[in-house]
Amino acid sequence: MKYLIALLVMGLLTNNFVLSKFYGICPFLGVSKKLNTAVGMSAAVIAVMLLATAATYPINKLLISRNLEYLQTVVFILVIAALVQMVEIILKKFMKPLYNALGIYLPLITTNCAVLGVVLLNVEEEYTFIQAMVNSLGAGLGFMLAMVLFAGVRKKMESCDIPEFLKGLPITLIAASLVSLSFLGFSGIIEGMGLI
Amino acid sequence: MADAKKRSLGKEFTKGLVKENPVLRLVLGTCPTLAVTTSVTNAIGMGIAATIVLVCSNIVISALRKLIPDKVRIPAYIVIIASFVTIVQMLVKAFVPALNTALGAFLPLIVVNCIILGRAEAFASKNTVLYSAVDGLGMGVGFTAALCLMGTIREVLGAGTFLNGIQDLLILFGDNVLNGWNGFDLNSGLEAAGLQPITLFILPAGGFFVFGILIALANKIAEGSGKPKAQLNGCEHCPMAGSCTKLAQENKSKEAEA
Amino acid sequence: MKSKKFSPKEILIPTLVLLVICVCASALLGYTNSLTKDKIASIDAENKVKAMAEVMAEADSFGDEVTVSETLRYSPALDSDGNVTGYAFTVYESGYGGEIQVMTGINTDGTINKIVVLAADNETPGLGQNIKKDSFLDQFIGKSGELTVVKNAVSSDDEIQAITSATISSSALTRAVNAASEYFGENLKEGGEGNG
Repeated sequence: MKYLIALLVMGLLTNNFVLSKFYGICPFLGVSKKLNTAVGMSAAVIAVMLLATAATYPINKLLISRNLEYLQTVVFILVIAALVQMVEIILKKFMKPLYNALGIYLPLITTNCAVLGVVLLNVEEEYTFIQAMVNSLGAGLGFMLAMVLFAGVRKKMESCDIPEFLKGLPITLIAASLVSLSFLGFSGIIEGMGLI
Repeated sequence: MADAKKRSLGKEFTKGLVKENPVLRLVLGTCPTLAVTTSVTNAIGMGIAATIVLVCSNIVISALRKLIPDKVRIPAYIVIIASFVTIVQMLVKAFVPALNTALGAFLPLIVVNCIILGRAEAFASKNTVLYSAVDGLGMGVGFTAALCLMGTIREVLGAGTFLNGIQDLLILFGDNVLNGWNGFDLNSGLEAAGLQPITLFILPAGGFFVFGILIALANKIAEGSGKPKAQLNGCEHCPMAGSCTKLAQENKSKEAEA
Repeated sequence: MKSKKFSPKEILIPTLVLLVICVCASALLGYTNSLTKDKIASIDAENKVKAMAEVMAEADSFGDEVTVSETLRYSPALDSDGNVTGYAFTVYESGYGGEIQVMTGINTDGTINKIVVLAADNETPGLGQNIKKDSFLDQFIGKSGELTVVKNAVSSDDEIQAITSATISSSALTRAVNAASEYFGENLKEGGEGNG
């Protein structure tokens, strides 16, 4: 249990998926302009991460039992792509309001390295099913936290007087650097909470 | 497509280096750019791996462009790219193991590097094999060059070394090709002067910072020749843009407004 | 099957093409895998042998590896007459970003001969990864018993000074070394006969 909490805290704060591991930078920079899109995108990412982890876990077991580990990357990316398509169709058909809120972000997620990244990490660390799910949840929540915080920073930045030279993408990256720096402050938290 | 033959191969190659540099101008493949540039050696390794995948997948996709039905285009591209990535990964594991541990998950993640799927969709699916290969090579070299630039800045300022661990990369050519030389180490000189490297630069925060400054510089240079600034406006550059409902909706609402 | 909406051709051909691509890809991967498999498998073993030779440089050969638990293994170091001169312990410990793997050479009198970090890839580059540096590892040489990590200057023999802003990685490494020392003290000390 302690280990599961540690996994969650690590994904959320100390090893934040976006700010310290650099997974999913494209949506982090691209879709964080407004708070509501940031929340929508990250909710979709969390859902797909959990689904993908649940789906790839048995598939990976099967691949290993047949000595086909080398097909992992190919199979996982196809599973994720198929999963995303399926979720989109199901949402569109049966849960229209949810589809309107999240559906538009789904196609973007196939090529989001955060999802494939978390699946590959789970395999490499040889997590059990529960650990893998918790790790994915932590990573997803970490993604959401970073997106939401950064949306706030960007909102503030709109009214700032930024040097011409840095306007646009450069200042966004420098702001991301400062947010990432602030996350360094969490580095002792796992040890401090007695989780290791 | 029709004017493909008029363009010179040289131009296809050089456009990826400067004018359409994938990292600094098109802002593609940001994740590996930030993650692996803690040292020049890693940057070179990542750049070469991605270039091999890019050239190979461009060639195959271009050769098969008339055979692949439009409907299953994206999955077909993904399978082709993922296969080459896995092949490169196996070769790296077998022959340059240190690179495999240094790049970690970012080696298999070349699959979702937008540069590769982006070039497949935007170039290889419309051009002949030769042009696609040259385009892939140019983009790959441009990617590698940008990574090296970032890696140099971060490694020298952040760790006080340059090309540290290069022997691990060259192990392919023998155990000791550089006669025991394994990169410059400026730390002893720094210490004598009472200085320390600025560790911040190899931390994640430093990655964002250096990338931001480099984009600003690239913008400045581009502006001088009248080119627009590098932008990352949501998902126009995203390779999935063609099949993306978000963009389709936005376009619809734009049309409705007009 | 002949409906007006779908001609079978429209469904069949794309499916077939995709299938052919997948089959070709898998065949190619299988072939590459058969070429590289053995080489990849031998690399870990080679690295281990190299590290063992480094941590117990005087040893002539090494005995068979003994697996004590999932996280602790050791091989006895032998001189030219086959006498045990020490042990090379491989210990797995959780660090800041994931697992670290440490090899500790311990002499028959319980002092630490040398330490090599086999893997610390998930530690932060520039901070946690500095545990691989000799300037840190040399502190351990010649020490024995349980060691503690301190943040400031060392005041007694059983203390190790942590790397600045990498206390977690430093203590993880020290825990790994302590585990080796502890096992040695409880099970292998005296006589040097306990190589079974």
